[in-house]
Amino acid sequence: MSQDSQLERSITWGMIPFGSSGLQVRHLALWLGVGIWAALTLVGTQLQGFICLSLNIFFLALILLATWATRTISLTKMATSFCAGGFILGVISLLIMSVPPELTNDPLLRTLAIVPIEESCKLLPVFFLLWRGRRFSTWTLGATDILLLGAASGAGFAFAQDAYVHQSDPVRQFFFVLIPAAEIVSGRLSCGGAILSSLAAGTFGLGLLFAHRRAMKLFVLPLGLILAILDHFGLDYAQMPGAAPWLVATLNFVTVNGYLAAAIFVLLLLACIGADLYVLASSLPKLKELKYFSRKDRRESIDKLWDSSLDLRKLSFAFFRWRRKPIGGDLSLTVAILAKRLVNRYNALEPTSVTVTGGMSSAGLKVNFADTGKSIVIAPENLDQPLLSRSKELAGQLPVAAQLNLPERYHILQDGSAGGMGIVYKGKDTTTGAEVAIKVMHPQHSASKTHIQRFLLEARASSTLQHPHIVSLSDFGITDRSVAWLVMEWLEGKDLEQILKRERTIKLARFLKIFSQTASALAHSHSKGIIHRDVKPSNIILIRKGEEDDFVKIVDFGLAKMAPKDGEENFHLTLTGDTVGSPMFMSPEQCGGKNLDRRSDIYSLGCVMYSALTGKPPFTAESAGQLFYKQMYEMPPRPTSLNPTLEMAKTIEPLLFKALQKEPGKRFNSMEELYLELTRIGGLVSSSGFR
Amino acid sequence: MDIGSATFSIYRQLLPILASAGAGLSTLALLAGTAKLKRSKSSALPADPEARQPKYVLAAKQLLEQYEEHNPPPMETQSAIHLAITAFEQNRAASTPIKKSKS
Repeated sequence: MSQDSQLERSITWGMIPFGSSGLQVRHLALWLGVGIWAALTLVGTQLQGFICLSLNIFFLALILLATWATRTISLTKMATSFCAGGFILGVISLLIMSVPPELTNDPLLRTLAIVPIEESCKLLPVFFLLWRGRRFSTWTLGATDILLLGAASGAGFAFAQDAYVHQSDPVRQFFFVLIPAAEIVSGRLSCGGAILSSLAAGTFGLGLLFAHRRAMKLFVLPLGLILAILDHFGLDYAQMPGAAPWLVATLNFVTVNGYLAAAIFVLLLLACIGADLYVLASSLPKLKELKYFSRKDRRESIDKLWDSSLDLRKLSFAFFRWRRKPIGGDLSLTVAILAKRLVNRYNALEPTSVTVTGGMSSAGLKVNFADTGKSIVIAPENLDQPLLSRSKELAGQLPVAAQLNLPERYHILQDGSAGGMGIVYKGKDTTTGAEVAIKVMHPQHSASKTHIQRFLLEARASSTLQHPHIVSLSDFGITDRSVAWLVMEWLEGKDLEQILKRERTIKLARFLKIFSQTASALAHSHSKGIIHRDVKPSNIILIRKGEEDDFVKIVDFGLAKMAPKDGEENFHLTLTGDTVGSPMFMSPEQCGGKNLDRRSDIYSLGCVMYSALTGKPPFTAESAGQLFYKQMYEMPPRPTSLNPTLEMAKTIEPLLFKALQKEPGKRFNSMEELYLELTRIGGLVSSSGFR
Repeated sequence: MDIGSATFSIYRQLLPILASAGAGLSTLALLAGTAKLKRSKSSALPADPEARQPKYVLAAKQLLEQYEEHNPPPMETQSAIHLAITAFEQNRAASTPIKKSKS
């Protein structure tokens, strides 16, 4: 049996065949235990047991509601404490049964031993859970958390005790009381186990939170337990033969009176909430990663937001203790892990899941993103389209070269191939004798004046780019058949897509060389106000220049701006018949149809870099719609999980994730910044000998 | 006391104990749900079931790897990460070592 299956078995206690996925024995045991406990108690005590249970649950619900702004404790832990309280009652009952009655009924022994033991035992689940979490979770608890644990334990204890034990009290008469979890003992109202245990646990929690103050540790920490013991003592003392009337009266007033104890409890609850709020509001430094709603448009579901909010509270409590008593060991590790987790969350390194709904209409499939309230429409022809290149399909639609009517100085030498936004032919400039690439607009766009105007506009813009790593544009125009054309330098080499298809991944040194050139070219483009918008491996051509291999040339500049209309930009690549695999490199804002800026290219380049190092694009899917969704809402797996041999992973991974941030503002500020970082790492690689 | 009433008395006394056994079983089942602790493979994590959640495991591993490389992450310039690193380094420097799990 593997270690994983052993681990799973130890958690589930095994599986019972049931339905499609089976039933955990542990779950069965849990509900069986609850069933036995509730059934035996309710059958044995009938209406009274039921009312006691209801009052205790109601009491817990009330204080849970009161502490919603400060609590970090999980409901599972509270349920554990509640059940453990019920179990402890049974253990105590068993112990009492085994002791001769004359001893248990001895007033002195009962006052000095049994009462303190009983009140302390009610807190055993709290102490156990605190001990169990001593290396992490205990440091993350506020005062209200510990109060809640005590309340749950006391409620579990009191439910059965009140139902069974106090029922047999001859003078007891049940009636509904105004204080939940209070009980009538010997004809008098007394606070029940839940309130007394809450008192004891609450002051313990306050003392633990402010343990750096000696007075709090010495006096406040045990105060609640002392009060609970006194309350119980007062109750028993009144039953003692020969009890002094003045003391009985005093105890009746001070301790046994349920309303007074309840009032003390309410004050303590307010004190705990106040103390926790003070810690939450004041302890953490004002860092943007440690704010509750620093990213208002963050795509987090409600439960994940609540989870992050709890982690922030936990960090506040742990940091509060660590700052005041900066000891090492477990407390500092707790602070470190929580702070790092929140940084990861801020940087969105953790995958998020978003519920997607949608339905077909005449326009296509409307996909709704629940968290953002936004939607996208995927055209019917793009639905369930496999992410494969359609180049071969398009090859059959290429126009005959002779029909293009290009200027006479250009001769077409080779048939064209579909790529980018148009068709590329190998040609020759008869004036200079140079081989050139002649790119013509795809015929399907030739009928559109808007397309032609934009094509020429972009061609003019591209002609302004003079950079060694950008393909140079030498001429452009439009034929009398309304076919727009561009003449560029002819590149003899392979594109990155072909290289990755053959080699899967590239080494770090080569990666840095290729992408620093690419980033440099794109930075130049951005400086001229031109956004590429279609950065992908097939647009990065590697040629040999002189003695130098892997000389980068970026192609297809500006053509990706050829969106047919506003609002359809996010689908331009599929609508224009280019490979529908391009969404693999589209930025979230591109997928969402938002306005783009230069940071969109940074994301796309991040996707390409990710592919080059891992052999896989950040996201893969079976349809364009699924891919859009992933680009917008999910983070890719860590590169090292796909390529464990990735060199300098600790340096490269943060770089990739920074480029791949969903929010443009969290990416590199500029392509120049990314270029400088790649160059800096290139220097480190050279000095460390990575090749 | 006749046999019937004696039996009833014992029943009355045993019933809460039997019921509490059910509560005990539930407690064990609830505790076991988070008891991956002792059997987990990672050694860099605090010995607490709550710390075994994937989000904390990821953070702890990242901090450990970073610490072992003695190479602060160049891209992470936020102050919060410095808080995490400072706390983590203090933990490593402390006399109390991280308890290793018995995997």
